[in-house]
Amino acid sequence: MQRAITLELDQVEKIIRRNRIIKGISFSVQEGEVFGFLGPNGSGKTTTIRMMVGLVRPTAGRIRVCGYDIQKDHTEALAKVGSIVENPELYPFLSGMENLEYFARMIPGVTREKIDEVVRRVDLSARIGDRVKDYSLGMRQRLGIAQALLGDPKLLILDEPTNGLDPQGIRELRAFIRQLADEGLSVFISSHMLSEIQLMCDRVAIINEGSIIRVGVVDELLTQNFRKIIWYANPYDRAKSLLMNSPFIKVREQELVDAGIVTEVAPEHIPQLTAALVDQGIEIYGIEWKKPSLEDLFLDMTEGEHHA
Amino acid sequence: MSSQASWRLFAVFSLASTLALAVGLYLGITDILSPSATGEWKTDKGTEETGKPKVNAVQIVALGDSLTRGTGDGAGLGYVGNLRARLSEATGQQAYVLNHGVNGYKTADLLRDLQQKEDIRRTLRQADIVTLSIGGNDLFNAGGAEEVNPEISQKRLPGAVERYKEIVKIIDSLNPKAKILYMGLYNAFADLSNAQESYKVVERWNSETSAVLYRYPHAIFVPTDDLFRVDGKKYLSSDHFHPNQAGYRRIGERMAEVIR
Amino acid sequence: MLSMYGLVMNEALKILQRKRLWVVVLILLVLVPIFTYAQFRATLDNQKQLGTTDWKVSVRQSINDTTNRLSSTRIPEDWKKLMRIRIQQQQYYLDHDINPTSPNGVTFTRDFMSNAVSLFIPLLIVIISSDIVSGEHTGGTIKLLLTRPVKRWRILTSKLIALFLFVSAIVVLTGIIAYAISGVVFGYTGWAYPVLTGFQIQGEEVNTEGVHVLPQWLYIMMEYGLSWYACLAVACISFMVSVLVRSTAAGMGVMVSALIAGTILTNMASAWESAKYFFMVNLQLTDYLAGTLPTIPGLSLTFSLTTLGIWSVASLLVAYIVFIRRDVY
Repeated sequence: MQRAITLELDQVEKIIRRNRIIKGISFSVQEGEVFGFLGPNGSGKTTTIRMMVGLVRPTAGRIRVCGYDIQKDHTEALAKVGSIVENPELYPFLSGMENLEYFARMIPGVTREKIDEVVRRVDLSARIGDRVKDYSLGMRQRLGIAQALLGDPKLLILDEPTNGLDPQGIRELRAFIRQLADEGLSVFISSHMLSEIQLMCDRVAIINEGSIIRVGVVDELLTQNFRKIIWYANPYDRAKSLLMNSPFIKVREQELVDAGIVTEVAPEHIPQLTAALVDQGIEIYGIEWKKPSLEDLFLDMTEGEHHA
Repeated sequence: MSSQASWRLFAVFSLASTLALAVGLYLGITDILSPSATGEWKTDKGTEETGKPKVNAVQIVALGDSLTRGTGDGAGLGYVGNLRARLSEATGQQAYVLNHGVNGYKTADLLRDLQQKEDIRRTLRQADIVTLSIGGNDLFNAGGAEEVNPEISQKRLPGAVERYKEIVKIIDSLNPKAKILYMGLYNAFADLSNAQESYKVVERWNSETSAVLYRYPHAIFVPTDDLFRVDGKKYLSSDHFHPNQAGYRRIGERMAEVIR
Repeated sequence: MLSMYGLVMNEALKILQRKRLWVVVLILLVLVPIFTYAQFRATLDNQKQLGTTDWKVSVRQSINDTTNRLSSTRIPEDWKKLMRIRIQQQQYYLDHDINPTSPNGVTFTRDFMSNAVSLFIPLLIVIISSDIVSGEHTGGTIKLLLTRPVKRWRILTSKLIALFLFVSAIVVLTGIIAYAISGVVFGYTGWAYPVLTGFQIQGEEVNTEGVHVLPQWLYIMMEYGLSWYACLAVACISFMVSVLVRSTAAGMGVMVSALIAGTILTNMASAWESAKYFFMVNLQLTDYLAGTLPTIPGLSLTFSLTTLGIWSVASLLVAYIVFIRRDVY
């Protein structure tokens, strides 16, 4: 299934005062997918996003939106992008509607009907005439999204969109983003919270210290390298020493879960190991296939960096 | 007002303003760079004379040199200011002063003003009292840091008296009813070695000008020389020439006495 | 072009909605009555001193006062030159029976601008202009503004046009408010009153060859037009400062001190001729219309217009280059 590419970064680099903040990163986002951009604070996430929306110019490399170069065809490229960079900072002294009208005047071809439509979509109709300074953070966030959708973008860029939202708001946002993606929009979401990405995104790029360390489908990345099995057995010590002495297995001592023993093992060896444990008279209460979290993944990858 | 409406109002107003200002700028620049002496002369005759604001008031017009101006008076009144204060006090009437005194004026300067400056002439016509101090610069001040030389002063004296006659004549012809108070000269150089000679000059000037004034019924010679005879320094300012505050007050008091 | 209309409207709306213009109007509404009262008192006081309402008497007294001050040795020669020229002009007014300060609302409007052009009105302009770009940084809205499909130079241009519109509005509002308020005291007549202009200063002499009469309304139009030019220059410079300095307060501080430095300089630097290249000492364009001696030797209308023009163009150039190239964080 070959889908159109809406965003493409090609060897993008940013040097600020001789510091290489972004060290030549490349990835692309396809139509209709929710793409996660994951990295700890200070990893270069925000700089990258700012380059993607034309606020910061790259020192080298190219950024294309729907085939338009963000530097050379600035206007055409940005016409395809809706974005909220950091907090949704709208004009507090204007009403929600005045803000939308304001932004509508800066995008060609936005009709009154379109404004009303986005207001309905983000469910702000009741308060749209109030001044933004009286809005809650959640309402500002929704107005920010409404603003981003005004120009019928192909790519929606949201920078840490769940910041300051309550769990209910986060759930709604998640559903809304999925809905947009189903309509064919590419949604680019940055976050430093792995659980967010895990729940929302199809694919993810992981950035650390200005370099992309992995790009892939979220589910694949989760099952690619890790085969974590948790054994619940009694007596614990004997089970542990037996497992540790097996050539097929790697016990991860630092990750003890309750009374379980966390191990890495290929699936085909599980029956053999189970039989060995039973032979030794060890009682097995459970064998759990543990899907590793993105936290684990990230920890593992950055650890590798440090060792290298 | 909706934001749309306020924008429209603002846009129309400021565009019209811009246009008017741009035209004004253009006209202003061309007018300054190439002024053409054309245009109608509309004069202000309509509002010309409003005269004295109150009937029951005394109008003083002061003519002359730095003494009229009040140079040296720390209080800034001069003899004219003192005279005015005394008069108001004594009569209960409001007194006004128009001071035309100019530092360094000589008889020739004053004569020229009286002949040429119509506005001065007009104020004289409305005056109740005209005060005058002139002649000191003719006799003792040739400009620059020249030593007082009574011989030269004696030579200049006759010409100055002639012009003095003319001055009084003009004042009287403009306003025969006004009282004319002339402040006589005093000798400011009593402490110099040639004091006797300078006294002679002052005495001659005072007697000749006094004689001129006797021809006019309303003109009065107010002597001041006696005021500075005893302990004169006490009444002179730091320039050793003009009176100080106390000196001016004595002159003003005397003038007020004369016309009471 | 239609989109530029929308952009300018956006910028104007932001300023209007924040009531910046009303702040300016309010300042005028508070201060103009004070100036009017001061003027009223001065007129009254003058009449009380002189005992007449005849303007010729007060002009003569003013000439006399100035003449007497001329003889003082403590007055610098430059000032004396100024005073001699003033005397000649007043004498000219006397000789031609034209009252230079006829007391009416229109004259007040005229005098007010000539007194306000070098400091007061520019300060009002700075109120509007100082945060026109830096305010977007403070509020973080610069990110929204610059991620629109609009080129940065167009955004900056729309801000500049909006600013110019406000400058025009402020200059004209100043006149309207000055006239409306002073008229209550001095009356609303005087539009057709003759004003003398065209004095040319050559050394210490006033050349009256080109002197001619203008109706006061025309004179005011020219005066306000010239002031407008000065205000546009102030706006351009303040605009640049707003681009360069991200803190609105700091930017305002820079402009206010520059303008005040200008008034101090004009009082002090009469002997320092190179000071004439500063923009602040060239703002008093109305002086050339009134024909008074420039405060710094070497100033002329052409020079001042050119200097202000160069400052403006250079400021805009810097503003555009920085704004277009700058990375926004």
